[in-house]
Amino acid sequence: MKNKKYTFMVSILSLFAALAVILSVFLIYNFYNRGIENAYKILNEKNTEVVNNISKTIMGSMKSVERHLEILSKVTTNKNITTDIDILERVTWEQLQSDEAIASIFLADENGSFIQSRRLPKWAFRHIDAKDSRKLDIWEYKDESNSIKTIHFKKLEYDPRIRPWYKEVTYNHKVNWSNPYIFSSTGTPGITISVGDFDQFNQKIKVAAADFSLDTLSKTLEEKSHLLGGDILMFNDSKDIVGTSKKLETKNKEQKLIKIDDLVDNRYSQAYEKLQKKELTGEIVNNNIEYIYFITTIPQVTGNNWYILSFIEKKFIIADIKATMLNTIVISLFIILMIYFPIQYVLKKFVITPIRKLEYMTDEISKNRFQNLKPIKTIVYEFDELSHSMIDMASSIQKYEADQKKLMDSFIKLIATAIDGKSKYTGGHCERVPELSLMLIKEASNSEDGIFKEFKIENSDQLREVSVSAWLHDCGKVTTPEYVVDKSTKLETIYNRIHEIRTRFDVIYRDLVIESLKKELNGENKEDIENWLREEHNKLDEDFKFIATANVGDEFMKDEDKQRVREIAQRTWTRHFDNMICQP
Amino acid sequence: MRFLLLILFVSGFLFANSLRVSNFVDYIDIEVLKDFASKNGVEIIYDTHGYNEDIYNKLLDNSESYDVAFLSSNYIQKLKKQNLITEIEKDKLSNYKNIDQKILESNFRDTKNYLVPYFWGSIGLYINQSKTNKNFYSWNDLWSVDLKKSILISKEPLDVFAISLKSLGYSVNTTNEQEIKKAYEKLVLLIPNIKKLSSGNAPTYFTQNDFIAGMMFNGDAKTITEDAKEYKYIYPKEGALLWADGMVIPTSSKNKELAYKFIDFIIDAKVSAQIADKIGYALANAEAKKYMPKSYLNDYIIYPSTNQMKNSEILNDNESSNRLILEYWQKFLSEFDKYQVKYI
Repeated sequence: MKNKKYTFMVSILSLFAALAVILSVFLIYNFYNRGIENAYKILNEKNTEVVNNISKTIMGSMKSVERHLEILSKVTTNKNITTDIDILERVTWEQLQSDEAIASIFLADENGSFIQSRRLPKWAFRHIDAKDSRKLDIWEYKDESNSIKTIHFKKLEYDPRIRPWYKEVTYNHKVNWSNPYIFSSTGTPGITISVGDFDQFNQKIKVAAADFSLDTLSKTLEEKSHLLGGDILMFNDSKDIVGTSKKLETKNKEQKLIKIDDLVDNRYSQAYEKLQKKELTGEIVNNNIEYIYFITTIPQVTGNNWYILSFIEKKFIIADIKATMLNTIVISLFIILMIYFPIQYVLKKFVITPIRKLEYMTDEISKNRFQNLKPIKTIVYEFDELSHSMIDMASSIQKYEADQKKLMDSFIKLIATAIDGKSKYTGGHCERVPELSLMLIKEASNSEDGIFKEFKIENSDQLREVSVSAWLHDCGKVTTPEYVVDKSTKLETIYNRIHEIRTRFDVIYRDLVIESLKKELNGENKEDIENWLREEHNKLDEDFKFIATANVGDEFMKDEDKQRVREIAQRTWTRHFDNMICQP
Repeated sequence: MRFLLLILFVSGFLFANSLRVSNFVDYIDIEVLKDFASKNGVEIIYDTHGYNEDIYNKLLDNSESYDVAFLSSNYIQKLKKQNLITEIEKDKLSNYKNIDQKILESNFRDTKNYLVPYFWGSIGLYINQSKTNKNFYSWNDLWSVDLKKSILISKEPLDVFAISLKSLGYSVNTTNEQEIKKAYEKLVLLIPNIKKLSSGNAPTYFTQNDFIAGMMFNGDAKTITEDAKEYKYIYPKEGALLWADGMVIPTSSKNKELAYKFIDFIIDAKVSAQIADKIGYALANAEAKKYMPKSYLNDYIIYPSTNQMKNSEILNDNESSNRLILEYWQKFLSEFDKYQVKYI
């Protein structure tokens, strides 16, 4: 595994992937954190905007109703409202049409007379003439074009003057907003806004009032809850629920005016607790779901504060970010892939392929196939240079090979000539053999006769083989002793001349014998002669041993040994034969 | 929701002491109702209907239960045939003697024991003379090209067909299918002239919108002509359409005792006179006439001369021809709607 090699592409891809992954991880992690932060911030802003919007809408709505009532309370001056019943009917009818939130709008005077235009349960105009002795409560049911369809004549039992909306209005408190309660006409929650008209003595003349349905408030909340992506609740200090964006389950099914504590869903009570602790925003967990909540106070309505509470499931924020993150990852991967292929293509075209070509070139060069080499087409400067270098190298190699050949040839010729030259008798032979061999080979190659049919010299290499082998046909002679090669005399050879010296010692040995015989002939003492001979012969033996040993021995001789050799060399022997005729 | 149901439930008990009445629009003096309610300590639920078909269908399918219903003579004939109304026990009506027997006999021949007559009158031509130079004296004048999108026609099918039949010279009570068909075709030709199809609030259309002519109840006509002389009520030469209305007690009434009390109260001479003064129609109450001013009795709109009554007819109920007419009426309505869409 240690020496396993990886292709360039794999390396590039790995590098690329590693870089991309590292970068992505960093970015995504960063993004996630920022995302959460931002999301919360945006949520907060969105909530503020939505709540402000709700607040404005609702307050606006209520103020507009107040204005209607101010007009209604002053449109007639007669203390008996029934004298102007027609105009009041028209005015209240128009006012009812103009604002969907108004469930009914009505007017009562100090006599107890009462007129009312109402929307529910059906469009109707109700009037009571307190001064009419017949004591009737008349309800005129109308159609959309304000034509009467049905009239109900009921016994008068209703006295508006004892109602809270009438009573609560005083000279010092001309405008009154009731607490939320359940309308008897609809069974749904609402508040009654009343405005009083007073004479110059500050005595109450009449009171105009309107039932403001909190259902429309809930409708507004419902609309806005979609914008916000969560649930919205409005409540007051007394924990009455003034409006809600979605229907809420209550513990006690009968009740209509719901208090926060009546709700099955625990979140709202929790939020109320938080409000008491002045924690206007934060997180609440209910049934294992995490919520982010916001509480906003609405400028004072009645004496009781109203609050808007909004809940958003935390997972929606995170889900959004997670989804975006996932998207980003997918898109990133996609982009990486998209970039990868072009890069791969570019690398392949401009890097890998030239390198392969260069690889091929070196391969060809290594196989000595120099002829097909061409510079590679590339825009990359380095590769271009490299391929030109390779071609130069190839031609250098070729030249080198050619020179090598020449050198080889020179050596071959030198050796062959040297070998030849060793013997002046066989010289010239080494030049003639190659010449003749080539002529023969060429003829053989060209010939189609018999066995030569299949013999063909195909290329110059083969010719060269023939030529070189021809030149070196006698190269074995290099090891042959010169005396065999150089055949000037039969007896000429490489010879260890110790044997000549030995022969000369032998001659001297014989000479001494001859001398001893001569001495014997002369009548010299036999014993003395024997002693002299023995002594001379021993001396001779020693001298010969010394010389023979010295011949075999090292290059370096001691000076005394050299002197002894010189002394021994002074000995003479008697020659008979002529040494001059030995020379050729 | 439960609260509402509770109210309705309780109201059910209250209804036991409440009177349910259905009458034509603008066909009574409200004060009379107030008086009755107060005097008898009862509640009154007073429904109004624009035209006979409306109340007739309600009684037919018993969707509502009424104690007293006001309908025209031909529809009372229908109700009697359907056994939807009770015979009037005259001994329960202390004021029955006030009734003009002649009116009863001539207008309610075969139903006279099943109703108490209320008022009678005519349907004639109505013109806002200030808007046209033409002189109108015939139903056919309504078809005039000068009256494009300027006439008012009622929603009472039999009445509208009657006028078309009259304009062709046929009897309003014809059973001839060809004649009825011709009346339908002629009505279709009237469509371009019709500005509105309505039975209620006819006076308002003339005073507040630019209607030039139309068919109208004489009483409605009277309420406007009283104030403005440019409005004219004309008995057409082909003959006006006469009608007579009566009060019936449906068999489905839950409080017949109270019904008799109410009817008796209505036919009290002074009460009838009070109503007559308010609505401007001809009394079927002979006694009440004594309390009417001369101007009322001499008003040709209310009491036409014999000449003006010439060729006038009252609708008689005929099931087969009525059915045919009602079929044509549906066709007519769809033609009318199509025309409105095309010529917005």
